[in-house]
Amino acid sequence: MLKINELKKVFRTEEIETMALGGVSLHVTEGEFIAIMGPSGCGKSTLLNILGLLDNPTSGKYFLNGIEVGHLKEKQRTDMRKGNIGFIFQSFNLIEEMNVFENVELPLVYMKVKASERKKRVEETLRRMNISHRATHFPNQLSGGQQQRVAIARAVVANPKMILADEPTGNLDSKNGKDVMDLLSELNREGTTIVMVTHSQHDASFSHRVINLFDGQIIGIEKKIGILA
Amino acid sequence: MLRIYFITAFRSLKKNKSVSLINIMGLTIGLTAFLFILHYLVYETSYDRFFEGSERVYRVNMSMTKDGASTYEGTQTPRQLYFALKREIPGVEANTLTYLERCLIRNGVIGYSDQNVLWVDEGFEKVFQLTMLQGKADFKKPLTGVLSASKAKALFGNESPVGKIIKVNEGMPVEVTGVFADLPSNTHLDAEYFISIKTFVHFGWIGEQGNWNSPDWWNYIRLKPGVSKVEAEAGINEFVDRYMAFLKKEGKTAHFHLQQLPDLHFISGLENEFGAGTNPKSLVNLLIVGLLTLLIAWINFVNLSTAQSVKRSHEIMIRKLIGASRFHIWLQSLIESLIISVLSVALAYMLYQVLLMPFAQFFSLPLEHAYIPSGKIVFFLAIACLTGIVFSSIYTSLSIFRMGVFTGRKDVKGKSGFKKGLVIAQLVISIIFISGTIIVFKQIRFMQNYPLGMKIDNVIILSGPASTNTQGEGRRTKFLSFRNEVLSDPHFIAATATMNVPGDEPRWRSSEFVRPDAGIQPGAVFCSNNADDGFINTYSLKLLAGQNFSVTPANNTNKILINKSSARKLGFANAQDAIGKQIVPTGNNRKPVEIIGVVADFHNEGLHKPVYPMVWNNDHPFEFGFYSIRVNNQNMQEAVAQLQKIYKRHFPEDPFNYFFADELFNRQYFSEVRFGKFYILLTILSLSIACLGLYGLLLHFINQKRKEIGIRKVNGAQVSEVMLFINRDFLRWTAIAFVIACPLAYWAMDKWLSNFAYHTEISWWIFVVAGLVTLFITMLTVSWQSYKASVRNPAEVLKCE
Repeated sequence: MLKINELKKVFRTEEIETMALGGVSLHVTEGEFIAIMGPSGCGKSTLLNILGLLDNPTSGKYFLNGIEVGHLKEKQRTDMRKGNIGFIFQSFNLIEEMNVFENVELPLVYMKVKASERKKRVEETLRRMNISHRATHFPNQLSGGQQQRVAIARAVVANPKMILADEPTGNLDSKNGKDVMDLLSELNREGTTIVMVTHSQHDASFSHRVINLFDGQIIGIEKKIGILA
Repeated sequence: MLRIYFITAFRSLKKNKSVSLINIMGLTIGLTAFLFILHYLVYETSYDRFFEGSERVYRVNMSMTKDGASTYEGTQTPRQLYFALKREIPGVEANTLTYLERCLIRNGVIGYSDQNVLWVDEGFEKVFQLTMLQGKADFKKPLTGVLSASKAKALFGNESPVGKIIKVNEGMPVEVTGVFADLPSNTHLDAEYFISIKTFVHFGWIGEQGNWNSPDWWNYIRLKPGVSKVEAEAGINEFVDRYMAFLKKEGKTAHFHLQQLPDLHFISGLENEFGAGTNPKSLVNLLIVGLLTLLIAWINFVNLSTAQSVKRSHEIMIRKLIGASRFHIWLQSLIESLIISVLSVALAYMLYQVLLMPFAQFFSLPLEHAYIPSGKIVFFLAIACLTGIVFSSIYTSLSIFRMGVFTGRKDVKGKSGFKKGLVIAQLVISIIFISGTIIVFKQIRFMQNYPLGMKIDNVIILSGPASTNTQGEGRRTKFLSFRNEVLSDPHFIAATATMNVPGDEPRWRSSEFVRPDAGIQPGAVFCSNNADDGFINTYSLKLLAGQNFSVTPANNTNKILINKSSARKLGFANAQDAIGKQIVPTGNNRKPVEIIGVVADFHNEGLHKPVYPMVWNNDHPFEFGFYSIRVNNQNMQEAVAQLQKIYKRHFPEDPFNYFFADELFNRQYFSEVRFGKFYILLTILSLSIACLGLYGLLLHFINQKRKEIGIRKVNGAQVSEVMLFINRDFLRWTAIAFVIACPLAYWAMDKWLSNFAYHTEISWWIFVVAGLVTLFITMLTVSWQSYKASVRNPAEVLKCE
């Protein structure tokens, strides 16, 4: 699914240079569920941004489905993301001016999917996320758990091959957190590749592998497949 | 897809109500002002365009030079030109000969004086099409004419005037053969009666053919389609050699110019222009002002939009994550701009419709019955709006892209240097407008209080009676009899009959005199007028040397009064030297005239013009002149009533039409007063829009600095210190704007003042006042919000963060 080789990311300002990633190599196969862990500032989010094609690495290679995507231009990255990668965030990141239905529909709008088809797919996804009854509500009318389910619905509505989740349960209580992790596991079982950044050992336990990052380097990879199976 | 953009745009505008409202208000104010200016510009540039094929109609103007110096630049041309145009210029489709005159028009006891009558020939209707409501024109016959619908109503009420007789001036009977629909107000043909010029021939006032010597007529032509102005002009100028060879003997040469109909109302400095009242430069200035107003409004709009997009960078980031491209973000921004613009345009259009007439009244503009091709207004409004919408959305999107949302950088604050620049630009414009307003009114005050060298207070002016028109010397006899009675009344101390009065442009501006004894030929630089022995006393002029005209007209034959400037032009070292000297008017068979008196220079016209050389002879004014009467006491009402009684006794058939000399004189400053009013309005508008912009930016600033303000307060900052922290940027911007605006305002005002031969100074305090007013209004705008932000409980803010 994705492969990165000696990926480096350096942030430069006028005065200082910060090495956020110092030569990371990783291979994620299709259908895998990966958790990335590590302390604050270790480069987790930088890595996730690069994997999600939101940013380019300073050096190194990034292959997505066999295509080198590490140095694509902004427009190419946008095109590549469409329908391939879904995002889930700790703070849900729903658009407040749009109701639940419209939020979930938006990726399909950008993909120029026909209105009738969009309606069908959004309704189906909302049903699956058990949030259909809230379709006309706005984000500020929903609980945190409900908002995250909407965010997941939006991430999966375009049937992406990979979902990138940045601490998806960070803002949720344990009950809602568990629901979200169950949903992600279910999506994974259906074949979606998931890369998740988390601080939570519990959430990481849902993954197949845990990548431990420290100061921009991978310091260990833990395989969990046996435990969960 | 567009639906979703519109829905989110509406919701976003609704959510940010205050900013949206400020945006809509700002843009509405700016657009309304722009629409007013646009309307006026369309009005001015549509003069006479309602005449079909107006671009093919021209007036023939003429210039004459002698030894390279101009002796005549005027709109009037010889009568023979009319026949030659008809006969010899194949490109001429139709032509007409006209003569404009102020007349007395009566129908029984109903009469109106000072009515503009245009005497025309049968070609008139082919050059200028009138919309006839009743009857038809028959200019082939003498003593026939047509009148406008409103004059028909005024003279005949609801009766049809067709076939009826109106009496012109002394009682000349003119048959009304038709009534035409009132011409729109934006025509240079400032006449409501068109009467056959054959009447002049009928009474023997002019011959059948006329001559090439006297440029007394206005000639118009309509060219055939496809004939160029240059081609026609070349043909017409061949007449100079062919028919005007006599000019060569006098060392003169003439040239004919064609001036297109829609341009005739622009002041071009020609003699005897009628209906010309607009300075084309002022229209260019107005256009600049209109565009500046619009620019301020759009600056405001862009400023607020970008401020909003900083706030919304998070939302934009999310959109990007789920697949939005730059185009999508631009489209979203475009649609939001579009909604605000459409709402503002709709509101502005409504305001424009409702406020147009009050606006026209405020500025004394005759917009009510004007020809306005509204398609032009809509077209320019659409262009202005589309340009604004597209550019503002592009700028807003670019500022979003620059914020780093699209590059993964976390700097979402954006660059604010440009935004500050825009606010400073608004303040600069406001300061320029304020200082402009002050200087305009300072100049008006200066002009109204300037010593003119004569006294025009307590002088009543009457339009000379038209009923005595054809009585020759009898007119003077009647005037003298009237004057005797006036002067026997204790209300009055002096009276005079003159061709023109102060404040009124002299009819003869290019009179030429030579001084044979010294061989001095100053050229055609003298303005001449008719006056009598009452002139000096009525206007309290100072006689520097010599004597006044005699009370007995016969003693004044071939004697003239001149002013000091004339004496100087004629090479006299002092006034006394001129007395008793003879000078000779140029032209055929002119007799020498003797200078019997020299009066001190005075301002015959407003301070736009320098004092010019003037000459007065003792002829009684024709076409009908003015009677000026100096009143002895301050009880004007009583004096006017008394004067009316005397006037009616002597001229029972003429309406008593009076005005005051000082009012007439100050009417010359009408356009300055209007300009001043316009500046006040612009100042208010630009300040309001700038304040709205400042207010919007302040909200944005406070929003951004919420946490910092909280932290400062927790750490012991006083309310005043927090306010200073918030206000200091606005103070700094005003200071920068002041520094930029002062030289610009100085330059603009200096340029404006150079239009006046005599003008006020640009004092330093004008800029200080303009700066202080702007500072005061800026602080007033920001202080309430900054106070609110300063007294807010910091715990609330920090808890939220």
